[in-house]
Amino acid sequence: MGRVTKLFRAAPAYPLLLPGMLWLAVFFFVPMYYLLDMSTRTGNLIQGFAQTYHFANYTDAITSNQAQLTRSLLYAGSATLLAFLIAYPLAYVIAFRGGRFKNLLLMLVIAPFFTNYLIRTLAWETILADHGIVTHTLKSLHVLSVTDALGFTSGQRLLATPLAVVAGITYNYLPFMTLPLYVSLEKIDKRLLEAALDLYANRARAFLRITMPLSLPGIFAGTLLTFIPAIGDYINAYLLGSTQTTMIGNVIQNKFLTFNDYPSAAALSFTLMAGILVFIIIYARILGTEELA
Amino acid sequence: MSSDQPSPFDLNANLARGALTRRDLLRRAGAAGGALSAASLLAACGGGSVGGASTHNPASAVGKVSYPHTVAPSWNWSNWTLYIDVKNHRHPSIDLFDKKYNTNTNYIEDINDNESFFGKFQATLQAGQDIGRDLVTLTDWMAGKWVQLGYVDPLEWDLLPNVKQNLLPSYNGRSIDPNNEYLVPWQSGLTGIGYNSELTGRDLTTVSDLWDPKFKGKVSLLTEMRDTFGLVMLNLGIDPSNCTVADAQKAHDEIKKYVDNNQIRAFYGNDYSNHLANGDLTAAMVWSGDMVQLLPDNPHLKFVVPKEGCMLWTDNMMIPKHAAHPYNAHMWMNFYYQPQIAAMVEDWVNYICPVQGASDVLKTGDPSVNLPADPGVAKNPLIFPPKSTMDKAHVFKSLSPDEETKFNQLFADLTGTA
Repeated sequence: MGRVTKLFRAAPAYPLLLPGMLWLAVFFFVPMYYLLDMSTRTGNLIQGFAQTYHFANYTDAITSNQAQLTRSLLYAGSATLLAFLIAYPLAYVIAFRGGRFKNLLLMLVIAPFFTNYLIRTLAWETILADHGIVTHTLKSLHVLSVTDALGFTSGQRLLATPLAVVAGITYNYLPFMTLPLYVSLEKIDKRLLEAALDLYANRARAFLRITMPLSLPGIFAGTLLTFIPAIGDYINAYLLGSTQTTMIGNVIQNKFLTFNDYPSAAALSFTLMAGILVFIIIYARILGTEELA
Repeated sequence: MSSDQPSPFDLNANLARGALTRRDLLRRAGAAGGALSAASLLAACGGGSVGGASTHNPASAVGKVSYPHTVAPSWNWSNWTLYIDVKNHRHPSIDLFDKKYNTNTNYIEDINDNESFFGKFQATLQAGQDIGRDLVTLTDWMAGKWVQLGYVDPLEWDLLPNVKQNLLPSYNGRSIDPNNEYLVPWQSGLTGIGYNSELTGRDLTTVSDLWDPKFKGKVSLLTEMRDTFGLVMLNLGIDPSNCTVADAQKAHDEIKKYVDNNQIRAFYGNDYSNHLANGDLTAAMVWSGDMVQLLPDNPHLKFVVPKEGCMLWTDNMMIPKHAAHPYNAHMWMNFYYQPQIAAMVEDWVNYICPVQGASDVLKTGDPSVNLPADPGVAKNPLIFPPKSTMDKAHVFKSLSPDEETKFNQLFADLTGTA
């Protein structure tokens, strides 16, 4: 009885949900279904793919692409960490010290997005060129010798090395990290900080006990918004990387477009999605942010 | 989009001619996986003239064809971006055609790469339906695939006297269409070696020169499997127009050595252009069409046809099965194979012209089509290669689906995307 009343009361909400649900159904669930269905088929484009429940597509996809999967995880993880280290102070300064320049500064964070993603990445080709000023400077400071030794770069150059790929990803997704951080920092009640200082907390302690915990929702959202697209990214690896830096996105793209091997591509895509999902669950548990969802 | 409205991209057409080739766009669009809608950006200009019903019907042999030998008021042609003459936001060659035949050519620049164009229409073609195009322009191996799959209507040669007369003999009997039944070449290009003579300090003459340890990390190969395998096979003494999976394995093993020791920096599409120009690359496998654009601005760059031979690729016009206006398509192909029309297109496009006599027209110009003389283009060996070059040019064979899978897998192992 009670449950029925509850449903009844919620009734006006259903029509409001309709557009969103339709959108999800058409552009998410239907393609997902086809992708899932495709992932266990066998055959080829010309003769057609027959449903044979060939689950080995998954194990094959994973075993033959371990290097790229590991690399994707590593690059996306490093880029997310780097983006966080750059974005947090940036968002902090804009939120707390921005004053009347806040909007202008935020504009500047988003400004690169006025340009096409591809063009921005191509610009990095020029910035990191072998005979460019960046490479030249780092070379004369012997930084490249260190990164070469660490395996981040090779042959005293930046382009076509892991470092270039990670730098490209970091740059491209930086705003996705900055904006959620800014939002959560901006809405912190400054009086809490004043109270902390009144209670003889020093600034570091006030930051660790108040600012940091209150900005956790922003950290959570920012890292996910950066990490998830970064792990599937293949533009940076294609333009700034080499044959030794290919990521799982490159493999999926190649399988879909060049090989027309839809089943393995679909299986790989699903593996990636499942991996990301597991990661999010663990991450949410660690951060303990149930109220964020 | 009508061509009498300036499209934003047309403004850049001349600029683009120098800085951007159609292959440039296609690689990059390919890299974006379609995310970059170059097609919509560049979807320029259908024909603009008023399409009245036409009954133009030249005297021609009426064969056993099932379509009427009359010009339809409009027809559709899919081509690559930036791949035809442009002047004042219009395509003069198409305008002449439309006027002569009183038709309206809907010129669609919607081919960004062979694979995705195929992916877009494969299901419709397989179902035996009209894809809404009367003529499509696809690269050799993809064209061969369409022929193999029965997606192409045979040509009616009685309607193509100019093609018969002016097609360069080296295009006859290519392995993808041995009896010239389906394909008419639109433009071609050579795949050879480009290098920075300042950095090499010597002339390169063969693919083996790419493996010189002095150039370590400064060499790139092409992302096109057929071009890269083709050149390496020639270097190993294998004929790419008649090769086997075992041959591909040999080419793979040869290249693998240099991937593993970091001799090869990367596999690029047109991206190599920038890298060659700014010295990131010392030598690379390159396409002649890009070099036409690069050489004048970079005097130290050189293009060489390796002594063991080079690859020739061609984009071919062909009529998809169940096309609604095949007669118009025939008329256009025949129209294009007049040397003065081919010269108009060539003066703008700068790839290799398959039409005999076009270079002579360019030497003198032709007032009847409003074309000034352009001896620079007429004498450019990259646009009108001498016979000695064409004799060394090889066309990659048409692979069976099974072979294609194996070749692709071997190649993907090299590019790190297996």
